[in-house]
Amino acid sequence: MLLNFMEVYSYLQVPLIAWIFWKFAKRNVIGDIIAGCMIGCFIEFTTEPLWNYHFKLTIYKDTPPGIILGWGVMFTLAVFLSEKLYCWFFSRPNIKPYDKRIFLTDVLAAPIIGLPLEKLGMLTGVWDYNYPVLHWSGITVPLFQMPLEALVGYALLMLIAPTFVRYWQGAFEGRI
Amino acid sequence: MLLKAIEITALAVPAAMWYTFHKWLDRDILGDLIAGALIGVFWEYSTEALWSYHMMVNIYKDIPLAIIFGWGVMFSLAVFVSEKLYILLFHAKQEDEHDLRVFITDVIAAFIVGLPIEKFGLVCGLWDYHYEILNWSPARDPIFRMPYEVLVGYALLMMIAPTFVRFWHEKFKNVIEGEL
Repeated sequence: MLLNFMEVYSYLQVPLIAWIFWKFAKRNVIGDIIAGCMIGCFIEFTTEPLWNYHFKLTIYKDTPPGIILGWGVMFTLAVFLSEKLYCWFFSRPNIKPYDKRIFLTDVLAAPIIGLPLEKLGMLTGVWDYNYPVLHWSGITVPLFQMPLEALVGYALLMLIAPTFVRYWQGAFEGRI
Repeated sequence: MLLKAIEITALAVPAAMWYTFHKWLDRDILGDLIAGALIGVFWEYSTEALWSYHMMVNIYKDIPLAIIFGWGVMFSLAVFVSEKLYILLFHAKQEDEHDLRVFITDVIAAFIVGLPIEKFGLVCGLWDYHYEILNWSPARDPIFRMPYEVLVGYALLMMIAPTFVRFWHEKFKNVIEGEL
């Protein structure tokens, strides 16, 4: 029952998040979601053997479309949070183009947004890790009790991927 | 012996590439090499369980430093080829940074640059795939005789990663040259 609810929510989260941003932050995040979903396609296709998903509807092996949409939402939230952290830490009204300090707030936003979502997915049985394949160290992050490797993976991903989201969001929304 | 020679060469290739581009194309690719290597770190760390490497100098489990350098070289070349293809195919004077058609030339460049390198590494025994984990289909592309999943993986990677190289290469170059 819970898994069914999570699967339905995985599709509803996109219009819900887009509406919330539009209504309360006056921000069109469609481009962010599209860019995030593209990154999600890449991640899920290339790392498919490393995790198992348990939704009914799948697009490639056991990878569900709802997970790809989840990446779109995750990157939208992480990029938004990173931007707010950047403005707050560095006392600026907006992101200075090509400022490398954005890497700091991107990597900080990754665990704040990504790890709770990752933990939620695991606790609700949406996915689990293929530990016999991953050969991870067994060290866990204290707050979330998540494998250290998941945290490092998120940090590395968040060094690379938000640039893609910020770069293409305007083009995907037809603004550029 | 062959593996050692390739590993030593691989460690020297970024410097040789930088010199070649600088000397004959009047182009500084230092930032491209750094940005590409950063993508390499993310990629190799995330997919470490899926392939095995057989070199001497490793930075995490069996991931060799030379492979990270190799990603820097691969992305520098791929971005360069993509730029030339864009100009050729779309009759442009230079690449329009926000033109979505750049995804097309990026993916073509991935096949032109990435697949021969991938095949070379496999044939020479630098790396091999964990087929028992990957569970790939047995279908092979007709030119390189590589699994189709490798083609799709390269195409997806090249839709995402070159943006990072193009966006940050100038800044990364400046860091090495002493400007923060």
